[in-house]
Amino acid sequence: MFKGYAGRILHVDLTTSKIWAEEPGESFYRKYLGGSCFGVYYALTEIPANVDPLGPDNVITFAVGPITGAPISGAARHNVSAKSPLTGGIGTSEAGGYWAPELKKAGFDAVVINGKAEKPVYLWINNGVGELRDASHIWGSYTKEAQEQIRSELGDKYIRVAQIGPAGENLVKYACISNELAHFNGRTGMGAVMGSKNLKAIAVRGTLPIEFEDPEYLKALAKSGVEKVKSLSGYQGFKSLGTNVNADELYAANCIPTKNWTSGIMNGVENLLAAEWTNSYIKPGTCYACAQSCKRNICNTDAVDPEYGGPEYETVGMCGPNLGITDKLDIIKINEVCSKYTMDTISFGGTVGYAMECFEKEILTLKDTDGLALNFGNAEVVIKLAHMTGKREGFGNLIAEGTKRMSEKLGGSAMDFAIHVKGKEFPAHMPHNKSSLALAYATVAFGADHVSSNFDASIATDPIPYQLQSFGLMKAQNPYQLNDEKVRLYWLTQRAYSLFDTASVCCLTFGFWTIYDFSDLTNAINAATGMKTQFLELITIAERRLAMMRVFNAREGFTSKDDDLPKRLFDEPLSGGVSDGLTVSRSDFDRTKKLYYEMAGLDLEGVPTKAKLVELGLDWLIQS
Amino acid sequence: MLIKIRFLGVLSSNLGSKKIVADIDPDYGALQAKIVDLIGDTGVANFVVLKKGVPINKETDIIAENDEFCVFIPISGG
Repeated sequence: MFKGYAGRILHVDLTTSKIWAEEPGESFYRKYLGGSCFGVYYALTEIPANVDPLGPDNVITFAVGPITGAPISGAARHNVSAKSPLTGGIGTSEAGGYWAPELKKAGFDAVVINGKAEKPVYLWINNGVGELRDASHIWGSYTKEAQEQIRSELGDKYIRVAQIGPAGENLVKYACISNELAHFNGRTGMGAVMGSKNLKAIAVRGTLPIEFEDPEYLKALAKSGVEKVKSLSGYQGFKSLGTNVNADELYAANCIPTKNWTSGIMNGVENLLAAEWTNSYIKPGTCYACAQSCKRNICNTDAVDPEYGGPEYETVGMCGPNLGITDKLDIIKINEVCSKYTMDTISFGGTVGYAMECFEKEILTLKDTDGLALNFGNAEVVIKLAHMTGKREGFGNLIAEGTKRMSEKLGGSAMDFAIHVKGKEFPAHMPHNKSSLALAYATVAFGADHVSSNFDASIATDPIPYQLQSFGLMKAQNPYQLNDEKVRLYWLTQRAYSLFDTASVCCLTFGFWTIYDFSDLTNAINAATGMKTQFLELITIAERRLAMMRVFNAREGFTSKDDDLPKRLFDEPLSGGVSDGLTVSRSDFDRTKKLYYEMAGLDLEGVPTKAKLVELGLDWLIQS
Repeated sequence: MLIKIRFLGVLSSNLGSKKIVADIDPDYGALQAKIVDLIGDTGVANFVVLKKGVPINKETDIIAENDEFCVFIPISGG
């Protein structure tokens, strides 16, 4: 068996309480590597077609990667995958934090869970042994109280807890999973799947050694990352400002989603620039062994509990200007409430923004909203609505369903400005000025996503980063233009991002403008495992994951029609500022989508061709 | 010729985010050189230059007196 891995996968049947360990062997690890690729593999092999994603037959997989546990920046990610209750297709979501290395030290590379417990339980994994324990006493608790209780009753303050709050228990369609209270598998509703299984948490503790092939190389790589952050002010800047640097770039282009994607700019948005946060309420935090430290922590205010962490850019965008809000403390408070209930702030912000527009257009009235005046900018109402949504109380019960289901209920013209793809709300980057995102949002198998490919500013630099040049992307491109070169940008880097999710590493640390590049990643995997792999094999595994996700969706009835954007993006120009008048070109989109399908080996319905499946060694999927 | 340069995002953390007035020749190469000079030894080699929110096109855009440019690094996906 390769080194670096635990070599064992824990299976749990919650219906029968049966727990067993699988040792799949080298060929499995070589073919699927880890992380999301493991999760998608088990989704395809363990989940029957067309099951209710919130029923007992759904299977949820937690998985780590080959270098997890090495003390390297950006190597502490874990993936959660299952059929998504938000989209009905594949659900998959990444998190940083501290849970992943603990799972491997506890003796497992993945945990695969099916069935439904009769009453609330949590899974306790300790040094090679899994055990189900009663969670009735913490069901309904916020995550902080639940984590404290679990650590207290198990007698170890170093136990790492991946868990759901009340939103997961109440099956909010975009409920997420937190670890250490402030790190999240945010997207596609994986927390609701846990809730549907009466599974409150997975607590892990491990002290087993992880044997690496070349630990000295890994130590040297870790040290080089620390030195870069120490010595180069560019990396220090990212540590200081975090992902909120996105706000600066998008502010300059007037392309921060505003008032449900009707504009890219509003008065007061200057308050949300990166330095404004660092100069007031935010300080750097981190994940396990990561020198980059882009995690946001709260300081200088008693308005919230700092243990729930601070807002990343996506939260700032979607719960800020998208809701007409530009006050930092309001956004911090919304972030805290979503965190303790475990609700994805992107989907929550997207859904509330949609509801606000419906309210202002009188499609929704005070009678519908339980008397809440859902006007853009009304932060007090948003905070109240966050609580109601997490509890599924009153109008919050509709917000808990997400944008797509709400728009289907309202019907008519209200469908035209529901901003989602496959039921998943957009992140806070606009395809209007990042044109390749039009393709990415439309065609990513698990719905609109901003961390599945590089986008347009990265290829607008002079010179183009060497990492992109190594993919054959040589010529600077206009970010606003959706052309053939942008299809290359999307497809070539989509495989790279799929590799990050498969190797369970962070795209803010490995990849393009980052501490480590692709040579470092390949070398690290070899130093961890002794696999003697090369980048070509790794990128093929990553493509295998992409193809498997599309096969999963095809099995669930998805077609090319599901790879489309909301009408608003094509037909309604942005209003105000220098982005005034911008739309996405329908003809460019249709043409480049077709080219993308051909480039990726997909047929006219977006399904991998037989030849592509054979090429990827996925002939076992041809029947399905 | 006087122009203004404003650094955003990561670059603003050590260069500040206030507009810097610079005296350059009216061509793209001079602008690029001035930005590289201002950035100095930060480990940053690739950046985007915006004029009125849009990346400048070095082949077609004209650089004129009092033009304002925003400079940033595309983090993560860009």
